[in-house]
Amino acid sequence: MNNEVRSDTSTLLPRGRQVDFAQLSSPSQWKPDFAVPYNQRVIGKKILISNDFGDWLLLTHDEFRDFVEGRPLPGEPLYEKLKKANFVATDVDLWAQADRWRRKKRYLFFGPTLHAFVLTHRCNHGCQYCHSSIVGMERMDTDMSIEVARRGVDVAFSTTSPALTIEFQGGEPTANWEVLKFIVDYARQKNLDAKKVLSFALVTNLSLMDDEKLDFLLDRKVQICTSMDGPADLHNKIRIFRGGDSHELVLAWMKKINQRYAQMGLDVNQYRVEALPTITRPSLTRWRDIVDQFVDAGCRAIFLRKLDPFGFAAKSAKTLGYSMDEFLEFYAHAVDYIIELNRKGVQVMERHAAIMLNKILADEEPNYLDLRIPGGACIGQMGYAPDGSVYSSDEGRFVASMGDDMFRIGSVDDGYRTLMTNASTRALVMAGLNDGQPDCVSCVYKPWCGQQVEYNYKTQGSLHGHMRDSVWCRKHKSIFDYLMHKLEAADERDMEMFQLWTTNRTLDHFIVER
Amino acid sequence: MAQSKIETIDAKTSTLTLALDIDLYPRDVLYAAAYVFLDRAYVLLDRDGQRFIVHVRGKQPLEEETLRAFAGEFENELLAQALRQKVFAANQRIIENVANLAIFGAVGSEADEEGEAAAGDEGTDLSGLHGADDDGMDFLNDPLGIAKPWETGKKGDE
Repeated sequence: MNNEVRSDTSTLLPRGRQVDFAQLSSPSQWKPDFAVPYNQRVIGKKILISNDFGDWLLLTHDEFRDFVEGRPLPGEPLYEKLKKANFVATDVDLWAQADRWRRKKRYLFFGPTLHAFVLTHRCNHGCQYCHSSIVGMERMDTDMSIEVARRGVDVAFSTTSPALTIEFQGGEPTANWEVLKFIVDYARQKNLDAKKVLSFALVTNLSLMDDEKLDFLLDRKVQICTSMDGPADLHNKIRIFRGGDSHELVLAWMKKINQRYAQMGLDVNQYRVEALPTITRPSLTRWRDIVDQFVDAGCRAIFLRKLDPFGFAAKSAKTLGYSMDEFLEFYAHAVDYIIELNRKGVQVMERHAAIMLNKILADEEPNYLDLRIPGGACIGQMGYAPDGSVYSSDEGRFVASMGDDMFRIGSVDDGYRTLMTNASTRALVMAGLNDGQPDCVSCVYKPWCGQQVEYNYKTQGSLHGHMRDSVWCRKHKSIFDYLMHKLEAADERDMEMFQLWTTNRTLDHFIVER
Repeated sequence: MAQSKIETIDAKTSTLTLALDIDLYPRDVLYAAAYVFLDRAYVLLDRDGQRFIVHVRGKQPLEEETLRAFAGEFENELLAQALRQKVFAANQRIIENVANLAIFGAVGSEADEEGEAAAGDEGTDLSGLHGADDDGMDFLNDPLGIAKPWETGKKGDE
C-alpha cells in the first residue's frame, strides 16, 4: 500500500528563515545593551527569539522591532513578557539562571551513564541496513568472553554517575546468553555495594527468545527493546531472516511480553516492549502504515530513525538510501498523522519531537546523548566490544566496524580514569561543544540542539564538520522548524497534547533495588 | 600579490594543484583542511614565496569534474576551518570551562579514586593522574574553581 499524497512541502514542512534586519529597523536605532545575547529566526508570521538559558518567545514583527530598539518600558506588557523570559539584560537573576543551568547540565558533573556491551557479532538476521560487522551464527570466536565482560562491568561501575544503564547489543546479544546472564548477575551483585541507580536494556530481534530466557529477563528487570520496521511486507523485505517470518515472530513476542508485564501488575500504559523502526527508501511512502502498525502493536512511542551513515548502512545506501529532504517529507507526513491520531484520542507520540518539546516546553534536559552539549561521546556513554576495546559510543564502534579505529579510546584493561582522561576523550569532548561551531553559535535552536562527533567525522571527514552543509544540522534544524511552526499555530487542545508528550515517565520497575 | 587559484588539473593522473595566498589562511587551517581529504587523496603541501601550494592526487581515478569539485570542496573546507578557528578563539574560555567541568565530573575526586581502587579496578595505574606535569595532564588544573561543586552556601559566600 502506498500512502503517498503529493503535497506542497512548504505547507507540510514549513521552513524558518533569517530575519531581514535591513527591512526591519535601522542599525542606528538598535540598542544591543537592552537584551541578553539572543538569536532569532522567522517562524510563520512571528519571529522566534531564544537565549542561552533556554528561554524563547514568538514575537510579532512589531514587537521584535521594539525589542531590538530597546523601546519597551517597565510595566508595559511587552517589557514584562521579555523580562519574565529573561531577555532584559538588567532584569536577569543570574543566580537563578546559574541554578537552572546546573540543573539542566547536571550530566556534566558525572561520568557516562550508558554502557553498551556488544556481546557478539553473530546474528541470524541479514538486515540490509545493519551497522554492525555481522558474522554468521557459527562464528563464536566473535563472542565476548566472561573475563572481558567482568572487566567491562568493573569499568562501567567506576563511573562517577549515580545512574548506570547497561545495554546489551550485538549482533544478536541473546546469542551469547551465558555472558548476558553473567553480566546481569555480576552487575547486580556489584551494585549491593555501589548502590547506583542500575538498569539493564536488551536490544534484540527476539528470534532466539524462549520462555526460559524471558523468565530470566523479567525476573532481573531487564527492559526489552526490539526492531520493527512497519507492516510485514516492509519489515520482512528489509530484515531478512531465513529461520522464519521475522515480523510475525516480533509481534508474537511483543504481545506475550506485554501480557507478562500486565500479569506482573505493571501499568500497561507505561510498561511495553519498545520497538524501533529504521526508515529505508521503501518506507518513505508508507508513513501511515508504519504508524498504524506501531499503534496496533501497542506502542505508545515511535522513534522515526533515519538511516545512518555507518557500517553496512553506508554500503546499502544506493538501494535503501534517500536524501534528507525525502526523509523530512516522510517525517512531516508521519508526525502530522500521529497528531491526527492524537486528536482522535489515540495516545502515541514521536520520540524526536517529544525530546525536543521536552527541552522547549518543559525546560528539561532529557540527556538524550545525540542532542546535548557536549555530545555524549565518552562522557555520556561508552561502547564495549567483544575483544575488550572501549569506544566513545555505539557509533564509534560502528566506525570501527568499517575498519577505522578513530573512536577507540582504550580497552577494559586500561581502567576508567585512563579512559576518561586520555587525549582522545578530551578531544572528543571539546569537539562536541557547539560554542566552537560557526553556525551553531548564531542558531536560534542552540539551547536545545547538539553535536555528534562520530557523525561529523563519518559524513564530513572531521570531528567538527561544518554545519552549513551538514545533514545532521539540516535534519535537526528542519524538525525544530517543523515543531516551532506547530507551536505557533497550536490551539489549546494541541498544546495539551504537546505537553503530554513532554511528560517524563520514569520506569521505576526497571531500576534494580539498591 | 599572490592569488588563490587552481594551478593545474589533470584527469589522466588524477592530480590537482592549488595555490593559496598565505595571508588569507593560517597554516593550522591549511593542515586541518588537508586532513579532511586524506581518505580520498594523497595530499602534499608546499610553499612558493607568498603562496601555499597544495598537490592533490586521487587515490582512485578521478574525472576532471570530480577534481574541480575537490578544489571547490578544499576551498570551502579552508573557509569553514578558518571561521571555526575564529569562533573557537572567541569562545575559548567557555569551551574550556565546560570541557574541564565535564572531564572533572567524569573523573571524580580523590576520594572516588580511593573508592575505585578499593573496588578492585586492577591494572589501573593511578599514579601521576593528578600530576600536572605528567602526560599533558595540566588541563586538570582548575584555577577558576569551576569544577568545584556548587555547595548551597557558595551563593551567599561570594
